[in-house]
Amino acid sequence: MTASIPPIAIFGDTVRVQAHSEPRRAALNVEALYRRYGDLVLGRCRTLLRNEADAQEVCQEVFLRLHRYRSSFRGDAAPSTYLFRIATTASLNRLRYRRRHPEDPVEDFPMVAAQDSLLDATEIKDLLDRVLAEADSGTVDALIYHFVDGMTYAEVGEILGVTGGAVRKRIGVFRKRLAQSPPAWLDEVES
Amino acid sequence: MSGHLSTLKLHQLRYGELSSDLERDARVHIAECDRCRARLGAQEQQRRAFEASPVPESIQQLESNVIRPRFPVWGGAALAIAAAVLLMLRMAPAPTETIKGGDGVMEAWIEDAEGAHALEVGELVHAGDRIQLKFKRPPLQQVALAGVDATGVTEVYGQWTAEQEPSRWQAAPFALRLDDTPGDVQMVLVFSKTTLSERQVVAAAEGQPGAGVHVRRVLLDKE
Repeated sequence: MTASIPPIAIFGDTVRVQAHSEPRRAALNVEALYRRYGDLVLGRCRTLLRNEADAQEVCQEVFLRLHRYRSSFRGDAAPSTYLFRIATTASLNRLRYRRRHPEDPVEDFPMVAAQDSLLDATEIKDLLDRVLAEADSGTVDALIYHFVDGMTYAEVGEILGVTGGAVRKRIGVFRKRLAQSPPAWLDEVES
Repeated sequence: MSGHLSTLKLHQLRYGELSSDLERDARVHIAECDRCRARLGAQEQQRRAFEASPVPESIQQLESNVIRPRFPVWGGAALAIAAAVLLMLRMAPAPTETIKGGDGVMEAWIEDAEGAHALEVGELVHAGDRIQLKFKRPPLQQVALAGVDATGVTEVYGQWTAEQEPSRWQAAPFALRLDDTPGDVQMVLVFSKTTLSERQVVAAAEGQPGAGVHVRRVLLDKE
């Protein structure tokens, strides 16, 4: 019988275990992940939530959740990709919660957001207002990644686990709905 | 498309996570694109502010609240702390099914300075050694690996889908490095038909497997 203990590869500040040539499970040091990627998650939350207290809270929730479910973490995506996605999902869920509870309003502070998006804070709010009430969560995600972050259809498909063609179709439906009164940012992003 | 770099790609550029080709293309684009240069600058500014802020207590407390797994997966530096703690492999008491190394169904392999081999009953191992389980699975395809320490605390290390047929030997997809924490430790394989929750794996490892769940364990006994 031959030895079959696989190599252990280190990426970033944490340790990933590799099985044969394919990454599998990760042994997570969540504090180390926070120190390395916390700015990405916090920035994401700020951009979508436009409220500093909410952003800080959701950011921490992302890492607490990562810790809680660390044993099921799959190491087959870069942590930055994984965290970017769950920060997006968590922020959108917080926004949906806000919509369901209008009696508990929060104040917007758009200036706290890093200006690393393709849309400014007002345009992002306009996009979210247009889609959160109507579109399914997968479509909302696709629209955010494409219009706010400037991902190509293929990049959006990769992060959502669908084909680029499926993303194009979802966004195409959204475009048709906007055809009557297209916002200025629509052409700006697509130009 | 916009022709600009995505927000995530800018992050990955900062983190040094892009392939050399992608990084080169990204830097060429940034050199020519005022907008992406400004977006990258905004991220770098946010990074500096983030680094100047303390880590939230809720995050700091995570690691201290975790009972250290008996076999934390560490990098090579962990070898330096390998103390003179000796571990001895022996058969465990059998709440469900107990297998020792090399009994034809389950083996614990060790990688030390002399290479890798299957542990035998009574064989001494040291902190810093790497351990990996090999096994022939029952006709249940989901496999989870957990550890139960001397105080009864259980840690789930991972769960995966077995690739080999039940009659064939297969290895856990990861190894575990022994630390120098004292106390007996059980390594537990939990087999099931469907993916289990962490709570179900813990229950099975602690001797309360649910219906259709099969458990095998090896006990590492420290001298």
